[in-house]
Amino acid sequence: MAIDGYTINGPALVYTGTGNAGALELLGYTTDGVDVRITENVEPIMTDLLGTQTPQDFQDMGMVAEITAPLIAIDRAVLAKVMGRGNRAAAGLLSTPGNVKGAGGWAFRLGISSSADSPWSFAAAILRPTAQFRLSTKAQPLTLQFFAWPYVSYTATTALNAVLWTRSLS
Amino acid sequence: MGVLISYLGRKTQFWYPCQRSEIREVLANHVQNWKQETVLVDGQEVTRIIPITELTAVYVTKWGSDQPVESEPIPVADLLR
Repeated sequence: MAIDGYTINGPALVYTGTGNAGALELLGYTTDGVDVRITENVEPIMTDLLGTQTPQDFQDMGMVAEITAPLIAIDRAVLAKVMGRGNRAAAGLLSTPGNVKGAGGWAFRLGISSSADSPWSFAAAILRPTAQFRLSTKAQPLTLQFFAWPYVSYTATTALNAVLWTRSLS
Repeated sequence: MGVLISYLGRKTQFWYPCQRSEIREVLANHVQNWKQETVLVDGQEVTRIIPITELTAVYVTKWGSDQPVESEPIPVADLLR
């Protein structure tokens, strides 16, 4: 495959799967794009052949993603769903401490649209670690940080090919 | 009330609360922002434009607990022509 163009996404609209039946609904758009950080987790295998600083090999230990969206325009109804996710009655209240996010069905799909490339879809995400914002006269972004992981049900017996992200509408 | 967009043979759905008068605009914006995808074909990543014919939409006037109980089909291709 040859180089086929620049890495331009186009406006990155943020969607969350918080609609009925998990439908994606538009949360908002950002000041200057969405930051996505995908981390391949690996465990170094240290051996005495290479000493104490250099791994001899690595083991796969899954993969996670952090998505940061400084939202400057927001659908407040959708935001309330995102920030109130869990068995709490509303945003601002606690869910039951110990509430399990994935198995409890509180994780949601996160979609990032693209008009110039294929969109991104993270299969299971939660708000983590922060929602951060500045209150002022000047328009300020509400920055939501999402954590996505390859959720696997406790009934599964393998995590092979569990989905972290896709760029399709499957 | 709003537009529920689905894709043939896919689980993905999109929900856009809107008035009837906004249906065409909602569809046009959606198609602009979600017009292509990358899929694996024989282990190779292939980018494809999603044909309008794979997209179906209904205008939902009443939701049940998890799916529409009152909705009307939207002629997507005709509206976007």
